[in-house]
Amino acid sequence: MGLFNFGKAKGESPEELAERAKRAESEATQKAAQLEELRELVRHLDEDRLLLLRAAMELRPGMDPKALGQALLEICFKPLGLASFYLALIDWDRDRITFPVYHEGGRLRNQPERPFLAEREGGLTGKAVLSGNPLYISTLEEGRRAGAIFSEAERISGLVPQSWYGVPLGGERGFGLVSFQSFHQEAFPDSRRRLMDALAAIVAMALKAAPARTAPGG
Amino acid sequence: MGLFNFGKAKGPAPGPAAGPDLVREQGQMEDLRELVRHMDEDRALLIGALQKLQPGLSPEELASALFDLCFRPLGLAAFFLALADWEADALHFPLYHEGGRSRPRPWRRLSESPGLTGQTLSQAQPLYVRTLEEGKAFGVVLSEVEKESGLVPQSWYGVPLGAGLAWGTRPFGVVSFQSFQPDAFTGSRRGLMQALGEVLAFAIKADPERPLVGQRP
Repeated sequence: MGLFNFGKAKGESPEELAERAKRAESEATQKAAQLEELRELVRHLDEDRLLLLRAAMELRPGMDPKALGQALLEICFKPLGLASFYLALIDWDRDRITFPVYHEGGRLRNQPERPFLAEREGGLTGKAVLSGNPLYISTLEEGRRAGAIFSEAERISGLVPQSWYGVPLGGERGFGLVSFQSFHQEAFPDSRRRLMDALAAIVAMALKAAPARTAPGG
Repeated sequence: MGLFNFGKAKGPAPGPAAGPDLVREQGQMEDLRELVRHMDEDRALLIGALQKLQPGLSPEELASALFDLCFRPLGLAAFFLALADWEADALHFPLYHEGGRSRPRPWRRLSESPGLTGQTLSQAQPLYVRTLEEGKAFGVVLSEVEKESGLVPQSWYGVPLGAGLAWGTRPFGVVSFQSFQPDAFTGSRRGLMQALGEVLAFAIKADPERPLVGQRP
């Protein structure tokens, strides 16, 4: 080892040290950001998990549709950041749609029953129920094109949710639908919609649970 | 500010001093990743159960579907569904999985040998047994396979199906999750298992043809 390399061999020059410190600082900042992202993800997952656990535990058989809808509203409205929420039930024989729970503009409202198919094929609810598949509308324009029916409150106030997600209950030509709505565009990413599917499935099972029923094949 | 505090005043010491912070953050990050994995798994299990457990399937099919979903993710050793026939004083096992496969398990009289399942049914509350010793104190009934092999799960968690006034006077069954590890199921895991039990109860008792109460005004 040469005499003039002595300083380098013993350690780094101040410039090299400063460079390394800069790199370490940048790495630490990056890691802190990753940590925060992970914490945010944990918060979301924990929220989803709690929502599902609460829905599975609190929605009981024998509750009428209004009580079930209100229980689900209570569980999910704030955590999901919803603007509106409703539970609709279809009576195919009478061609009527009823709304045991209809929450918009910050409170529960009495949404009158109306003809289902006879009236513009039932709006977004009709589209989803007839197809038997969940329907996701991510903007108001898309909703208009898809035949959204606006409520009185929406027409008067002009406050209309941008994102609309409807999950039919009971498959094709099912017996109802749960709708989750937000004022934000594209508010419900795929993972949130899967959660909403699951919440609606719990409502569907609770609505159809018959405690006294002998289990099929049991 | 003193001259010797200069480094401190400018921020964290550069270079080597950043090391321990990074190591600590790396550790926190790994913990959080592990937590995310767990929560994601729980979420996927609940969503999967709601997709797969469909009304109209037989109890055996429903239990098999739940078994397929949760056996590996929950690291189980054994799993069963028991249905109580209170009139006939009988306990039936539509699905009984132990020793790596599903086995037929004969029915037994509830009053003669209730075991942990009978305890869960009579208390109408989930029962958590952390060790085999604790299980013996509760009157565990060992299966033939367990007696022959000596391989007996240490942790046993039973969730009553149809517990609560809304369901009726007595639960109609029990779903049991078991592990070879002692005290294997944390509180949050037991909460998940309870929710899976609720979903199973709904699916067993859901009647697609049932008219809805209160649908018409």
